Amino acid sequence: MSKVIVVQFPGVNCEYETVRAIEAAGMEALILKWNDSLVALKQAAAIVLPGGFSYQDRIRAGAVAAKDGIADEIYSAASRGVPILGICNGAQILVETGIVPGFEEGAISLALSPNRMPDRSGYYCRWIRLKKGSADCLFTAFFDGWGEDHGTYPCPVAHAEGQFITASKEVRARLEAGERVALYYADARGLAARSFPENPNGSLFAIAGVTNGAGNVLALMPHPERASWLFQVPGGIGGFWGRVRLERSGALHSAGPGRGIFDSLHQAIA
Amino acid sequence: MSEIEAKLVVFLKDSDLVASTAFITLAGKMGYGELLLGLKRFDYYRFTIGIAGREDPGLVLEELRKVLSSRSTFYNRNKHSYFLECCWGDGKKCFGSDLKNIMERMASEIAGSPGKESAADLDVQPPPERVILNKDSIFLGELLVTESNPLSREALGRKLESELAGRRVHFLDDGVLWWLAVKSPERSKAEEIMSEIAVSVRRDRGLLLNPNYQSYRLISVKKMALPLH
Repeated sequence: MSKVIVVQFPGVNCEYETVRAIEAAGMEALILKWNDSLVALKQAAAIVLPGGFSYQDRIRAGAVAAKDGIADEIYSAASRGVPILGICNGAQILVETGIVPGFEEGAISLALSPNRMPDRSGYYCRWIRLKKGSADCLFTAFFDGWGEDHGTYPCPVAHAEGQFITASKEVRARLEAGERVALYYADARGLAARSFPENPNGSLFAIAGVTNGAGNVLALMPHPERASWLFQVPGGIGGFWGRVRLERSGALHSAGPGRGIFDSLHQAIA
Repeated sequence: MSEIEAKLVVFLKDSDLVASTAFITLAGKMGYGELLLGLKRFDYYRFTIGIAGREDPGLVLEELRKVLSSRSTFYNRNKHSYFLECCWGDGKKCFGSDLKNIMERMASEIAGSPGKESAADLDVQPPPERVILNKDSIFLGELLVTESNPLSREALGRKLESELAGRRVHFLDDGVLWWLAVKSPERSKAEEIMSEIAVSVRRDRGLLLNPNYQSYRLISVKKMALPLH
């Protein structure tokens, strides 16, 4: 079986837990440094860009990594339909490469700008609720048939620059219509979260994850690898997963709510 | 009531790794090595301070200098230097490190063509050896990148107001100022190159700002004098 390649840019820090989450979903994973030979990447079953601070977020998050030689191959793999998941800093890299939303080939039509929060700025982390958007994406297949908690899953966010934003009226209109919106932040009733803290960064239309036209790429700000096991879920989170967490206190190594993203990937490449 | 207009430029005393990374990325990875000869980065603020009719602007400036050096709102004196230019009515006063020294150092670096050394710590091809046949054809542009978010300016204004014991402060600009030394036969072409280098519209075009939440303006573009070797 070909491997899922986890790309390690200088400064990322979530590559090992991302590998664990991929392996827990039944796939093989390999960490590839940004300056290694690209042979393994060209044969990858899927590519994951993990979270962290590539190039120390110099200039702006994801900007420098997006200009690396390896980004050419990632761009090409996206065009070939290879599943690509960018988590947090990985999402920022995908946005800066122009792979998502991909309305216009190669154009950078989105940004992940600094969080917009009332009376505070900078880094922010908390558990939020994710709901499936109207765009088809292979990574969100696990939502199909899910009815608990108004169709939402809990997942943690941890970032300073997570606000999806665009300067283009056309792109804005298409996002508002739900195009390329794979996941959005939801409130407790399952509605799009318009205000802080349910929408933790002021993201346009509460967007949490954006896909491309073919649905094989997902730029996702929350961290599913940090919700892949039950022991990672806070006891007091409430809802379905809060109950499961309390009921299975003796089996906390079972799957958590974030595992679904990786299960969906497994299903797609199996 | 009149006012003082202040321009504050803050920069690192030691090497600026962000500027180095930007230069290496543009020159070594993105193919601008023949055109972009040097790059510097500064934090930039422009604001006004209200003064009462008979108040001595010199005393207000002393107060401002004390605040700037004793608080870390704008710079940390352990690692930063600053240049402060204040104008009011017919008056003008400058404080801090002269930016002319930085410009001279930059010109000297360009004349020495240090491309290979600066690229040595990253896995990229060094920029090609540059041939500067006509040293009159180098332009230095001051390009200011700002975020389309007035909230940060308001917050800075409130903070400085409280540090200046309630004086009225209004921020006109805060952002990152880039100095770009560009080789070009003429000024208009130099401006075009600077804009292209700045605005990230595609993966292979532009780096310094994402136009979906940032904007820029060229504050000045002038010919750069290089030292003779």
